Amino acid sequence: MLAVAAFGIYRWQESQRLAEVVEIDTQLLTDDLPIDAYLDRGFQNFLKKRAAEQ
Amino acid sequence: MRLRFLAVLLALAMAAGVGAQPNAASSAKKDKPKAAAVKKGVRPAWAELTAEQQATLAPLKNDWDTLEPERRQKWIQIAKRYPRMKPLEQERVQRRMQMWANLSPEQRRQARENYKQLAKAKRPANKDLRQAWAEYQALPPQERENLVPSPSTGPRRSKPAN
Repeated sequence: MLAVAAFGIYRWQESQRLAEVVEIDTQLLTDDLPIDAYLDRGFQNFLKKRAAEQ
Repeated sequence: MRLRFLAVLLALAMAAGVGAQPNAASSAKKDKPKAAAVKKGVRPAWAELTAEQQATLAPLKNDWDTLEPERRQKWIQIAKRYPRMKPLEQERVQRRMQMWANLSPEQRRQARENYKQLAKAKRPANKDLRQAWAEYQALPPQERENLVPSPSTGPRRSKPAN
């Protein structure tokens, strides 16, 4: 009984995590910006500086 | 007695929760890079996918047998969404799928994190983002290099390979 409950909670958490990954990966795969832009820390900094200037 | 039962149940649930945390360590264990060996007996095998799923996930065909079960499930879920995407989005998915799958777990984690950060910080319009990316790419290499946070001031993460 106890093991079944714990396993159920674990499975639910795993499914939630998978759903979150599917959601964000879908957005990254279809996004206007290429994936390279999200891997480039210089670009992330560039955007921050630009936003601060505006 | 009942209290002890509840305490044990709580401990087990917490242990399960810790195991499910999406931290880098756990995802690195589960989310092996492409170089990982073929995973025998892991399902679904490529041959078990429907014809539609195979057509959508064709760029991953050669790597499919090296993917962990969780990643296979993720791609199957993305394939389910594929018919509802716009043609431009479908084209992007086809083009980016293999590159995304070939990134290291750390690079995928970083890209997801950066995407979330951008969404959190009032994401600029797509047009502005595209323009910003074009401007950034047009910068001299040294200037771009200067924008990369130094390890002492930036997040303690390795610089991804381009």
